[in-house]
Amino acid sequence: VTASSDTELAFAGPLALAQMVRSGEVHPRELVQLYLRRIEALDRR
Amino acid sequence: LGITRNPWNPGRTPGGSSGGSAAAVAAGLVAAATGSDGGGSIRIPAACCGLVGMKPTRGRVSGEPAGAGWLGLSVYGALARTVRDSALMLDAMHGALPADADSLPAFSGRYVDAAGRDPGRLRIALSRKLPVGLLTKVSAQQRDAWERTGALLGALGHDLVHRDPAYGPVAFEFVQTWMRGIYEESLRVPDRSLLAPSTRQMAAAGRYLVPPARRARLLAHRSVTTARILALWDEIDVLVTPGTAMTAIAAEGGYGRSAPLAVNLAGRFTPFTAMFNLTGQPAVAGPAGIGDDRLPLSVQLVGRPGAEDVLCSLAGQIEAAAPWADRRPALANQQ
Repeated sequence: VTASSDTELAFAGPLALAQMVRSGEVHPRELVQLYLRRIEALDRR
Repeated sequence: LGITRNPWNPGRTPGGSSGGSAAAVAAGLVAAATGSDGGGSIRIPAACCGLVGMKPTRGRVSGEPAGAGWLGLSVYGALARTVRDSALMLDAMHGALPADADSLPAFSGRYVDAAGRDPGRLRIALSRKLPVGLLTKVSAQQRDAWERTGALLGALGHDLVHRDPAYGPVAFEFVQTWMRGIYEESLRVPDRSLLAPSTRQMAAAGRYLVPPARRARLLAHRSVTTARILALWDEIDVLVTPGTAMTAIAAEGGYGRSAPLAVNLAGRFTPFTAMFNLTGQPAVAGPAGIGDDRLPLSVQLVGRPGAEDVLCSLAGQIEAAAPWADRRPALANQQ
């Protein structure tokens, strides 16, 4: 998964994310890990 | 905890008090966030960070288990990047519990559906009147953004009028209720010595300037003030004001300043929000373009009590006509 598609996923919003989770396109664990990575990289900036 | 910063420009504030929530949503650190709004604390950070922030009607979202916040001024709501996501959050949050001091008839639809629905032809009032007691100047760019929104609403077929609510001395009533609410909240803090000095000053002001008899009079008078302001909604469906008086101010804001200085600064920056905490009406702040300083401009839509669905529909219509969600702070694209 590339950085830019990661960013798109991070900004997809709860409505789209819920649909992606429901369809199995993305696992909630991946989303939590994505947001934890972004917090690590961007918080305190 | 230090100073919270705005992802659009770390030298500026993300607004407050739900500023950390707003900064996190705007930077893509979370998908959406909850917040609470006792004087603008959802709408102000939404305005500063280019988000949709709705303060629901008092009683729409349960105050449990904490109970009614700040004598009923404070309600829970959400911060999101689009109207539909904001509506989805409200779908997840609304409802009452038996212990709630205030509750509304349940909403049986879905706010997400309302957000995608044509609002029909609405009667809309445009106002940038400042309530008595708030001395500030609305920036030219914020005024232009508000006027552009008005022009867009006209082009969308709504009936526009320039009308001001009869605010009267609502700002004075608000600030007294608010100080007393902070005092009463401070009594529930396990260790008051850990409160910031300005918070302790506000609590002391609430204790001494708003003793129990005055508190009782304020609460008894609230329905009178609310009826006077709400009279305008007999003639209109939605009021449109600027979101804040200007784009986000310096990140330091009132941090470490005395309570009177901090309150004065906040009042000059955010004169359009607190009166609707007193009336308990639903109000939503949303993006209205980007200013020359590359920070989000904003407008606020204020509805009739219980009419969050109308605000969702109208905000959704504005967003569909002038989408904003593809604009993100540059910082958010770095990894």
